[in-house]
Amino acid sequence: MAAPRKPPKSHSRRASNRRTRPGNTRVPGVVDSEGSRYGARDEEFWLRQDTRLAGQLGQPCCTLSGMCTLLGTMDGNFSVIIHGERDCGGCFVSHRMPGNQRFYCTGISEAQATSGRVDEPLEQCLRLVLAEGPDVVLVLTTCVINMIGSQPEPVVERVALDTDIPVLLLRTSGLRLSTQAEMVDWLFESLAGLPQLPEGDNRWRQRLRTMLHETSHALYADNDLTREDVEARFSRALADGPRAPERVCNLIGLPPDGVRTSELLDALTAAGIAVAGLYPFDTDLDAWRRISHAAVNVVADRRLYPRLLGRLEGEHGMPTVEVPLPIGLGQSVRFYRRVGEFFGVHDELQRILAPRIEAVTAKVDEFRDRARSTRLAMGIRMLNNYRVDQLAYEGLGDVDALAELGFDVTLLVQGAPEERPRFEEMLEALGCRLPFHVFPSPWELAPLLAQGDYQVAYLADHSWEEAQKAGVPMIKSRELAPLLAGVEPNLAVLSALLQAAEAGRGEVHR
Amino acid sequence: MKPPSEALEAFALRAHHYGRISGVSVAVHAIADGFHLLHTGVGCKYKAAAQISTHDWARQPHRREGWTEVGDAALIRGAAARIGPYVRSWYDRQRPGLIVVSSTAFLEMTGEDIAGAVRQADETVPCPVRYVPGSGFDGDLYDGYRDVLRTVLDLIPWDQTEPEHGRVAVVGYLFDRYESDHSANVHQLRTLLRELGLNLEAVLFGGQPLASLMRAARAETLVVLPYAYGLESALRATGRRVIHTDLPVGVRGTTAWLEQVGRTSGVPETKVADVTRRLARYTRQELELLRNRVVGVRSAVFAEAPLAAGFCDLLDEVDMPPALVGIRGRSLGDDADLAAALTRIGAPLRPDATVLTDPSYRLVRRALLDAIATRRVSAAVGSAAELSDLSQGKVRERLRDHLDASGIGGDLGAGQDIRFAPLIACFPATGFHALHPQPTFGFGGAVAIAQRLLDGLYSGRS
Repeated sequence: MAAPRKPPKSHSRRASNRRTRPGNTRVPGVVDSEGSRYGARDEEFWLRQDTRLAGQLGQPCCTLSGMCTLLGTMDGNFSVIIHGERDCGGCFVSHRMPGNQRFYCTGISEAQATSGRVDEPLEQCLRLVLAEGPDVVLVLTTCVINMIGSQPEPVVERVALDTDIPVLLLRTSGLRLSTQAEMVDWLFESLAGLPQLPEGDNRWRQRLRTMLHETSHALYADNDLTREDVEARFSRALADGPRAPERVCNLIGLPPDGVRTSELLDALTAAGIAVAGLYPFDTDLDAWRRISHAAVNVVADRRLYPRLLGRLEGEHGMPTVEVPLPIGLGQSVRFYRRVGEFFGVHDELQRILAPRIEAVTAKVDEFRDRARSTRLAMGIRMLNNYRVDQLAYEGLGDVDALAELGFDVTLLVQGAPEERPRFEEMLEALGCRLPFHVFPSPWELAPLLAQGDYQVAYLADHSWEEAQKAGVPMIKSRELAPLLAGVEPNLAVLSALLQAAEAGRGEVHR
Repeated sequence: MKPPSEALEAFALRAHHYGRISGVSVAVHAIADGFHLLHTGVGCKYKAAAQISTHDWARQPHRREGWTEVGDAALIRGAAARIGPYVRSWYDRQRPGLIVVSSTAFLEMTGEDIAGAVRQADETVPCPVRYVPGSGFDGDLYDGYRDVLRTVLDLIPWDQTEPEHGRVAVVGYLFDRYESDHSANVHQLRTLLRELGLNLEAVLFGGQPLASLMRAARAETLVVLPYAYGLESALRATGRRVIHTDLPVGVRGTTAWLEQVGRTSGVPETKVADVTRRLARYTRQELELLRNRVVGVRSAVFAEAPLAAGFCDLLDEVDMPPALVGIRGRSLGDDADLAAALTRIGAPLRPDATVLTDPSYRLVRRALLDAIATRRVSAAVGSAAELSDLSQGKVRERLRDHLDASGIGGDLGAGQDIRFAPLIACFPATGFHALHPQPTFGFGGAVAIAQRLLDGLYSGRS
């Protein structure tokens, strides 16, 4: 028995759509409907649509969804109120968030929305939440609240008068198509703008706190971590002597790092540099309320954080050191060089790191012989996961790491094919002259991968099916481990990828 | 720590917080060639396929989902006109068998004729295009799923097809992924019906393309599971015999289901009795292995009311009676409905059991940790929403935090004697993926769950 189909009409119903055809090439089986009843009208629509989207770099993002996602994974004694309809409590994958118990929703009804009587549930919810005694409350709004022109500010201000607890109202929504970078910067600047905790002589506590956080996260994720691993970590931290205040830094936008694989804190500590916090990964609310206690911000891609750095530089007089994303040998070395030069400890850092650099350089050289000229497809602009290390340098943070290993990298940029000139400009501005293709949506990846004769791929995690169809083994993008300690594990993963390519398998799980 | 505020509980994020859009997304995902077009704001994308993508490793739902890219400017100018071009574009790209357009609260509040725009779009592509309103003010995942069921029931040519004797269609199976747990459930349904001499024609939904669902028209009998609630008029319009049943989960639950379906379908009573006696006896023999080793062990259950009833039945059967039950959502029933379902199958809850209806994440966490800490509960069956944070590697850490914060006191010591087996068995099931058939339905499901409980309780013990 066939699925219900309607009788054919006289005109073609297969509308022309520029976005259906990467590079405007014809898709086999699709009837060209130039002159069809809907073709011309739709063409006009898509032209307007392209004009509207021009000038936006990242994938559009809902600021409510993005902030809930980031706050759901952040530790701390804070609460989040989603002010709006019940449905928007589902705008993030909360069941995977350890902090989902800190979220509340005013759950306004249709009658309340249409009559504009939405202040009462907000006030009630806010007062109840404040009575629980959180350190901070964040109130986030939904599209409906913005659409009906509700002004929650007076309610929040009135309730806040009765308490010392900071209440932060952020007019979030999905109506204004923000970029992920804008959202991330807005949230971080807002958190950094919270009343800062008193400084006191707590730098050693900060360091210890950072270690505890990192360790607890590692324990959470890795049940095999041994007691000796943890003890060694804390012994090193506690053996550390006092540091000069000007040598205390924040690390902003670096990839998350594990206890066992990180040489970062060890190396910096040995060179006399203290790390106050790792933002945003492994950071809790209190860390944001101490962000001004450090002297310097070490930042991967400062263009991501105009608001945050504006506040830290302007209000707190903290200078910024921009560093590459420390993925792979070359970028890790440049990362340490930038930090070392800024703090005047370059030689010291070089001495500390020399044995590691020497060891991994040999392995990289060896691997390069094996991977040389292997065609690798690297996808960018494919994700809306709000990860700053994914957003840094327009998603190109891993390119150097792959190129230094001899891979012949081609970029697959997700976006409207008509926007190719703009992407070209964007890549050139970043000094990237790699060949690239633009494709409109992930479902077109399989033919693109097959046509490109790629041997391996580095793509967003949701691309497994497409890569398998094309018979191209892939690993998930932004899964390469950072720093010098990450080089060897990365080579192991990439080695498995090459093996899978040689064996003709379609996937590699990490 | 202060006791939890009951007034605040009303605002706290539910452990089952999914709205209608999530349900529409799950339902469209369950139709192999379905396509879900979201006429919504950008954040609504996270209410749809994003909620399923880590749950279903067998089939990526993003591939069959589109978005009309509504923003503020489109809202001001009128956004409904966007639907047609997107429908045509996605039809060209994917050639789906069915396109379901769903919307959201702020767009529906504009009063634009979204339904009209969808009807117009429907005229321009060969496959059916249907509108499922997705108001975000009320309704949950099950409502959205049910709305798509209604849409598909309306597409089936009931009047043009002669029903055939002995053929059955199951309406209202909640199919949320293409992994082997669900294919095993469908197989269980088919096998159970075959034992009664009935043939399963179609499952709405069971991962088949729309064309296969049309075979439901051949069915003489529609077995309607609880997820197809509130569809009386649509079901009446089919002209078929309709049997509303509980879920065939647990030994008594499956037995009751077979008896009800057999009796109403005209299967001789002696045959029904033979089948149920034989299969139940065999299953109970299998379950003995677990039953003999769990004396005094109590359990917790987190699921929507009909499924919770099945799990409670099974856990009671293996002498692990539930001490705590959390009912996910309200649309499929509350504590009274759970009690009624358990009474129907003869497996009432113990009087000391606590039942929470539509609890929040915080209430679930608090209640479960309290129950584990006081040794009231040593195993739980539920979803990742309740249990992923209490996996065996994490439960001791969580307990320690909980005891510290609540001031309950009590020294866990090294926590060696704390035993807790979390078993993720329903959506969202991130953290549990089925490579081989592991049903929850039928007698096979009872044994499969018992096996997982045994593994969970005794892993690492000799």
